[in-house]
Amino acid sequence: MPMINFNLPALGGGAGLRSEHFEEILSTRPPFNWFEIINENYLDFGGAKREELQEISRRYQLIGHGVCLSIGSTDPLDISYLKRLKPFLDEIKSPWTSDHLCFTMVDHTNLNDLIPIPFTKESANNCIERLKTTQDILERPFLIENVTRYMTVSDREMSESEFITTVLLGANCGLLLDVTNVYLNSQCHRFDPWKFITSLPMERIGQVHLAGWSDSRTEIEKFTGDEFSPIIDTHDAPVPPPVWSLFQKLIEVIGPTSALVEWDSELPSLNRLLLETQIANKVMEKHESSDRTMSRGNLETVNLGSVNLGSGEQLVSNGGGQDAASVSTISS
Amino acid sequence: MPLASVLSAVKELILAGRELPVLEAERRIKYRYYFPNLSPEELEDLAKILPAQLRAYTSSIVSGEKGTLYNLFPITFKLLQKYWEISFGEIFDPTAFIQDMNSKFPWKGYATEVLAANFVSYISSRHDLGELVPYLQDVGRIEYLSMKVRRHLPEPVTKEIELSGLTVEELLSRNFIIKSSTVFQEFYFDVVGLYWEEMKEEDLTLPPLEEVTLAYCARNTKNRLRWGKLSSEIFDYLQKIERNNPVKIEEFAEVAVSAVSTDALSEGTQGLSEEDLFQAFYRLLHRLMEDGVLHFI
Repeated sequence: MPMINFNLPALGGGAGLRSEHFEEILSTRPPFNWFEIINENYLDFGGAKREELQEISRRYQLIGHGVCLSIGSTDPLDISYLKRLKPFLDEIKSPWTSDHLCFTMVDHTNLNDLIPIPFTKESANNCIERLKTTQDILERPFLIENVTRYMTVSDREMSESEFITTVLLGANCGLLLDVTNVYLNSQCHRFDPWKFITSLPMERIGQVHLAGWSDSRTEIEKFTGDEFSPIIDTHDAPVPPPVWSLFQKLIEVIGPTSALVEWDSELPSLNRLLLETQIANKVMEKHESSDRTMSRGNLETVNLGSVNLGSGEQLVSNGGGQDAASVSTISS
Repeated sequence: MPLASVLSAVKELILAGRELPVLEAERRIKYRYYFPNLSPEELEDLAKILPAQLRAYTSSIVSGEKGTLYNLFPITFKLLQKYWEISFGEIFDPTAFIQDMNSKFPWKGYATEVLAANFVSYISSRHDLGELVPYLQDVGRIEYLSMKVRRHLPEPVTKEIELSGLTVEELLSRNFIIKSSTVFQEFYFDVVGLYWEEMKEEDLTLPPLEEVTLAYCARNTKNRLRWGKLSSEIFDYLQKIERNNPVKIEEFAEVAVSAVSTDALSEGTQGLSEEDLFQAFYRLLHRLMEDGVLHFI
């Protein structure tokens, strides 16, 4: 049987869990399908926030996501960290976990950012060995995430997609495809984002990240493009139409998955966040109904230029101020 | 291992934030000098990276650390912002401040606690800051310890005894432990009072009194952070007790009663009865239990 969604359950639209929302989540129990948490924000922590997290884990599916594994580093793999992470993931009942294909630490110094690694055979083999050990210790499916890349350390031996593919197959792990990162990288390094996505082993995509950004570049910077001035992946805005569009194309190929809306700065209301996850759900539901239509030989066109879900339906999303309570499906 | 040298070079280029030549060829020459272990191909690859691309990471790293430190040290940063300009004649630049901190105290390990400890060490190492705000070190330390106690892992659950309903003899025969989350700290200024005020107030109030303050910080059963002051005898006694090591309440009572008697004598209070002394000890015991400093077993 062919692998679908890296053999993981498709949880639908979910959101990044932030402690600022804990109280409201516990008191109002909004209808989120699932939440993703940053492992390092709770690992080795006690106190009120940890207890609230435990309470939330009793009511919602949580998926742990890491930022500090530094899988591409040449420092020794932090076995002690992994051995503490395993019981933590057991405790929150996270069926899988993930981290980034990058390095965050080298020479034992923390860079506190996701730094790209060279796309070389040596670098790929290094990641593969470390990922095998990681999976052995964590005893659950592991996904690696493609990062935003403002620079190329080396593509002398292979391209980014070849590198990701080599690592995925070599370590037999899954892919957390960050669609926003692909889009931003395509703008920064001028390539076709969809071509990039389809060049990856798509059956290994087990989860998706979607995020928005605020473009702080000046009009001159955008226009001239002389001086390098990338859009920074700020996670502080609604998911923009080009990313929704890529997401929809992706879903048409891979089917429903677990799609996480990341919104970490300039935090919106819970209702606003819920709206974003509902858009992701709508895209995936649309695919399911398209699938049924397809079998009757009548494939509908779905256009997401302005979050238009086609066939007369459109989710109303006017950016930052919209509340989920007022989300409506317009039939025309 | 060549990969290790490449990653190390990338780290250097990002963290050092050096001015780099605009031309790729010039960068290649410079990198040959900076990174003698790299092969010509690796130098060529690194030289292709634009200085602005490296700066995107430099600025993102410092901005991330700034956000974390502002969260953990709100009062320390308020003080720096308020007094920096008065003393140094320029606006406080947190980015330059953090970059200088990183160059002297590199962040080793992934834990935020290490970054926070670096921040406290950096402040302590800068004597000019002590002249700027004499109690800055104490404020930094109290914010750091608050973070540590707030985040401390849960204590092993043990059955707690009820104090009420016990006779004096029964109470004294029981044991207590100092929780592993509890910290004891000596300050040169009374920042314990200032800390709570500042958490409530937007504006900075009067500076704290310059007096040695012996304090504890603990987390109570409702997970609330509690700071409290102790007399020197009680502080010395409690801080020496090994964490989670059972101690007879009777032993603590002897130390506490003696301390209360000494205090009473120094204040000129005459003839405290045995009952008064025990009541004073009981109130102290109750406060320490309520604040989560200790736990009866």
